[in-house]
Amino acid sequence: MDFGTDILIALGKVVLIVVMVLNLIPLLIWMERKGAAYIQDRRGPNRCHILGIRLGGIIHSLADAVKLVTKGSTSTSATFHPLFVIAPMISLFVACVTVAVIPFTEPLVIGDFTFQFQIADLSAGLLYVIALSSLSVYAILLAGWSSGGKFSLLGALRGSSQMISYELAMGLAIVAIFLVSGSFRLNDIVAEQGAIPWHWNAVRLPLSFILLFTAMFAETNRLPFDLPEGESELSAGYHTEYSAMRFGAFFMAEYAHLVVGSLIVTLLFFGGWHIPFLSSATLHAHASDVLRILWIIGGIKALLLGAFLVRHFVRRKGYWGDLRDYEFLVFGVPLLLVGLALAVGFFVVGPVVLPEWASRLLVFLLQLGVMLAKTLFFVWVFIWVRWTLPRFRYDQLMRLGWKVMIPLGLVNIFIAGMMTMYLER
Amino acid sequence: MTTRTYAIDRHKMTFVERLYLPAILQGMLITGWHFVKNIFFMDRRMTIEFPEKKKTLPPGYRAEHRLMLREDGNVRCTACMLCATVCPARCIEIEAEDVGDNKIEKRPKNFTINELRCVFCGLCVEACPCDAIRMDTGKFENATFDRRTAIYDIKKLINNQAEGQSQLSQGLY
Repeated sequence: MDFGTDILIALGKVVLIVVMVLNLIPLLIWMERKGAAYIQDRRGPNRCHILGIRLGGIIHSLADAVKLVTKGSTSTSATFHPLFVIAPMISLFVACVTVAVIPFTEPLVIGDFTFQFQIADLSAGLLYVIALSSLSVYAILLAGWSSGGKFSLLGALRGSSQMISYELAMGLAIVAIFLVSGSFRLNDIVAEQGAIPWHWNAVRLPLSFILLFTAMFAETNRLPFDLPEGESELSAGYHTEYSAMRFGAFFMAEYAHLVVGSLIVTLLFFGGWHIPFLSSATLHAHASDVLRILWIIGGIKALLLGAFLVRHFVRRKGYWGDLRDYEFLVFGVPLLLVGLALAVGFFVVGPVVLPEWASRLLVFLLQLGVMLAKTLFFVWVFIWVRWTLPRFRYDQLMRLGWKVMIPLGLVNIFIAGMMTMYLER
Repeated sequence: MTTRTYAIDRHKMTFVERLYLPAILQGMLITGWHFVKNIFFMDRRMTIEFPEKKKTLPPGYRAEHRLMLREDGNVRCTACMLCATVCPARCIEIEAEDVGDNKIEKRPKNFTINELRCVFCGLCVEACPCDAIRMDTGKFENATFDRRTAIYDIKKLINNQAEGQSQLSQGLY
């Protein structure tokens, strides 16, 4: 391949992956709001609709986006403007750029054409992630300091000290993985774990997993450790003075951090794109069977979901008394039809044996789906924990970071060292 | 007043408690159970979707005021000023005028209630000797776009009826 096509493919990958991550953000905000509501026995967002289509409240995210973009940006007379404007940009930039080294699947090999769903395959990939995620301290510090308010400054101080302390623990937790995996490349770390669940790092290094996951909460400034923006004490912490899309950038960065954090946890501890017990070789060998099983599962799911929605429509007829009543039909009937089409199609397409390239593509897509599913699960765990735990007090936070997590991290490195020395793998 | 002492159990946390993780998992199980329950039994949630569905108000709920009428269609109020006197928020203003009937003597020319000031304590209803003012309209959504519309004059108060309720007051006299 010549240089031009290489650049084109790289650009395509950049756009694809960044768009994917940015598009996950409204979905995550929806997950957060709806999850919070369901955990607290509420109903959550369900009002906003386009011609009666509410998508369970996802339209609210769209409305939020429109609102944030069209609002006016305000600032006080005490703000220092250049940094005030740059800070949210740094925040969002750092969060998005981290995705560059994340491998989403195994490389797709068709003939002599290789496609890797990863922007840059750095040999020091994990170090790049740590280095960039520590840059987000700058965003918090600059935002808090340049907006010229007391709450902002206090939030920034808390945020920077918290992130610096927890970065140490995170680094120590990751060192253990380096020892066991013997590589900094994320591809190698995932490949080394394989498809068997008890070879995954979460089982081999449980302490490391707990430490890293806890530190992730502090890094993403989410609830048990959301002191930088603790609303009961600091109104909104470092982004108190921000409004409109400048605030939106911080908000998006938080969720982008969430995605990146979950991706890292998935890659380092839960075997990345591997499907439990099914290695890539097995999948390649039985691609046609895999397609058949997926086909059947998809059909059954479509039929069940369609039937559920239609039943819901019948049971709640006239509940709203307007277009919203028919929303369930709009989704239920096509789903039923798709399910039926899949069921009929199974007898037509069922006996087909997939060609080599198609089986490769199928496995590629399947592994991408598994990777995203695992990531979304961990995002959900982040949200779940947020709506379960109360906020830590500041001294408790520091004690946990310095007196508990860092010694534990050191012990963990020792354990990992012993493992690499004495356990044959 | 007797002094009471409570012994608060401030025991040292055991090792398992200090690990925090079991407690966190326990909490997550509770919230997770709520989540699952609410997905599968959506209609059993205690919240109601407000503008479409409304709760039945309990009897004795103090909502917006209304003025009652006699059988002959006149206002029952005799402008005795008891409600305006007892009102802790001073939101009732009454201007009296002569009726020309010696049995009744006075009636309100103006009767203004500032619903923005009102604290909905119900003392005016208790003070009224002739059951002329009531708070049983069941209207509690008093949001408006203009403050002036929240100041109710006598016309508004007479016509501020709850649906299906008589404008005439029964009992008394």
